[in-house]
Amino acid sequence: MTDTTIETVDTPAMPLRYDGKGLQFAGIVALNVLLQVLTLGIFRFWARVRERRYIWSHVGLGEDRLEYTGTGGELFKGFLIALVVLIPYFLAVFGLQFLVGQNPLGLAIFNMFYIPSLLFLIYLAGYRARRYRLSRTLWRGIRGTLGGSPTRYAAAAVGYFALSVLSLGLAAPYMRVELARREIGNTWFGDKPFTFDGKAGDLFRAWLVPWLPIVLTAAVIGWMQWTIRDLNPQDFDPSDAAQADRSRAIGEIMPLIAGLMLLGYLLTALAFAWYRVREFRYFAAHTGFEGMRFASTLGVGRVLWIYVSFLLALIPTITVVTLTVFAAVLWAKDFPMDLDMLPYAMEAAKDWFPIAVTVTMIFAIGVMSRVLVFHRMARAVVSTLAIAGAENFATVAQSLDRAPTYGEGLADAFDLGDF
Amino acid sequence: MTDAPDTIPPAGRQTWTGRYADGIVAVVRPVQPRLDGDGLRIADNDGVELARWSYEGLRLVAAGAAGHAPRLTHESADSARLEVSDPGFLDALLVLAPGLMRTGARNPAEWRRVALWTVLFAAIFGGAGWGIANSAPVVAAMMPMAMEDRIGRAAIEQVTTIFGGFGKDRDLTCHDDAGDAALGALTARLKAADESPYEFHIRVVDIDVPNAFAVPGGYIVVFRGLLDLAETPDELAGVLGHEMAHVTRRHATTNLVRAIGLQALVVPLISGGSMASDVLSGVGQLALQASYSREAEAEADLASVDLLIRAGIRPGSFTGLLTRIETKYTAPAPDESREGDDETNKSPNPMRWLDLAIPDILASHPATSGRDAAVAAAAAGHDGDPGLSAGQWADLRAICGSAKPEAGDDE
Repeated sequence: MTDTTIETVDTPAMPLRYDGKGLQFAGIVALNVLLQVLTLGIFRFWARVRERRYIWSHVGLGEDRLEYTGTGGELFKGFLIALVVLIPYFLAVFGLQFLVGQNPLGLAIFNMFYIPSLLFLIYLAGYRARRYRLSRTLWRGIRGTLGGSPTRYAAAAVGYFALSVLSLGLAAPYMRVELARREIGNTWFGDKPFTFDGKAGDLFRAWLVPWLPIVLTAAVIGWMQWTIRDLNPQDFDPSDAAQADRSRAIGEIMPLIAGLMLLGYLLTALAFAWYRVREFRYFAAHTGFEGMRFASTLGVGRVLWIYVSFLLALIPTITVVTLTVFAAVLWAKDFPMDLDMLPYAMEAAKDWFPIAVTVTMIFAIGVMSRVLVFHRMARAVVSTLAIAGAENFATVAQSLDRAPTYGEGLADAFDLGDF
Repeated sequence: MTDAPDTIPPAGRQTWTGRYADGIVAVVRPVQPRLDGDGLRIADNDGVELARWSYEGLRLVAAGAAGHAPRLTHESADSARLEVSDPGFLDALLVLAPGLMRTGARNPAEWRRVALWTVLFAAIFGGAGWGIANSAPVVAAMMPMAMEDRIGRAAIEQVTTIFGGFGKDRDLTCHDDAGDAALGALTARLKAADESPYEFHIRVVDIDVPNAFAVPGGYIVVFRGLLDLAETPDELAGVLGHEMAHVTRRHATTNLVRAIGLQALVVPLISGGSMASDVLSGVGQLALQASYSREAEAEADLASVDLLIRAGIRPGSFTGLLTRIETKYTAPAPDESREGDDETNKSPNPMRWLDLAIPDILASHPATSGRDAAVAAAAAGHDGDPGLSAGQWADLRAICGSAKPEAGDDE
């Protein structure tokens, strides 16, 4: 916390609180999953509303809690409207992809249109979803608004993305900051706007921390590809001395390459988490509202622990789920529960076991990730956030802008998450 | 409280304490709500009336979680909120506004809406899926043959790669002068009887699985395992006729078009991170394709009989080959009935659980699905020669080297 902190203000900061309980949230998620199964997945819109209502209503600022006023019907309507756009789009994409086949030139041309158009749709979806969520977020009886043009935002995002790619990722903070400027700068609470005064230059040095391991990992992968460039197991002839020498040399160097790659992935993940936390704190510190400023003390250790503990919890879950499903499949098939038959159990279960275990695992991991990652992350982010400066909400009046009447269809289709 | 006459609570009426936001300014102020006969009256601590909410228009905000103070709003001011944490307030209010609890998750109307949407949604998507699935043959029929040929060649190349490892020299296609000549003779006879503009490129690959398949454009692959199990050339001719019908009726092309269409429908549907719909639509798609494939198999069976009749080859015997494949791969266990308590039942047959890779050609069981009966009915009264001489048949069976003697190994 050096350049990203703001000077201490003499007025006491107004902290945000989160007092939701993981177990209560788990109950909501579990019932949601059950109802989604029973309704062929349609319930997911109402499921999302149930989750958000819980989370929003446990976020407190001052004496007052947030309120989520969206409804499943609105989300569903938004989804149906998005389909009108998406079905023809994907029909065209799949049709073209198929026509192009393996032709390298055709593939290049296809990707030149496909990748930007998909990115455009994804960013458009994200912006529109944000607009809907803000319009359905109420605090002290006042709702949020997101102004600005979603299409212009999406077009800009595609442009910044191209710039990031061309700069080999070095311009990524520029993209992040400029998009944040459009997102935060167009966010209103009632009739008063938020302000954002971040600069990409401030984040550039921090961005080098994940950028370097990413580049180094890519280099190691390149090295490995180069080492095995013309290796073909089909042609391998152990009697050929030159080939045997070469394969021994590769065998000696492979552990080093594999170790470096593993190290690279690990470092990249850690450095990336560190950067995102720092970026978040920077964005918070440069976000203002009516003379007040946000400040976040989110720690990278806390964020990492959320992911690590989730991964640790997965191990027993996967074991238990696998064994239970395996036993259930055998039981359903009337397989003789007999030690002598054990060697054949795998074969006997193999037609139904993969699908059964996949389905069960998706459900189990889905519930766990909502409870152990999503919900805890919400708590971590909210409870480390505070508003500094003299409280100045009394001048805020309800915005007269019309709120959208349906929401998030595109974002739902692209699974853009909740925040 | 004494200034305004109507703020004096009459006997039996109680003033509560709450917090009120008017939905116009971001200010929450302490208020003293009172349950009047005609509605809820909200006044500030000085007794100034801020709002009067009728009981009918009152709504309980569903966002409030268990343990939170009940939060109320009114249809006349959608963003206004009144929170009253006094215990007993909600009970007192419910006496006057009994319909209040029927909001949000507790509202049966909300659940009816979910159910209605579910049905509507299933109807829309079912309809769209049905439309796409059924227009696929039309679209496939419009595809130029040159494009089909390109697809077919690409598919064959891919399959050869999968089966043959990665080197080009690992091509598993069997070549043998005498065998090629025999295969060519049989293909030519069938082609002569076929009225379609397709050229057929038939190859035998050295894989020990009794199967055959066709890809668009006339490319047909027969696995050596099928040759090994075939007893007579007309059995093989029947399978070839069946695969040729898949080509000329564009079954594979139709499947491809259908898969692309359904994919476009399903991708936006399932990518919403919804686990349940993801799985369900995957299963649905498989089932849909399978139902069409059963239809296509039956159609190809009959077309094969037709083609063999026209070519003067004995028709319909290939169902015997299919049954033989099926018997080999789904060997019934001796303990078919579990009630009997014979000695034989003590040792269950592991084979029963080892239904290894049931070949695609058995998309449905010939006997149980009535495929063999339909073929027999179509072939009744027709006869012909086996299609190849005994010498040619021996050559063809040896196209991948020496033939396996399994064919005579009847069950």
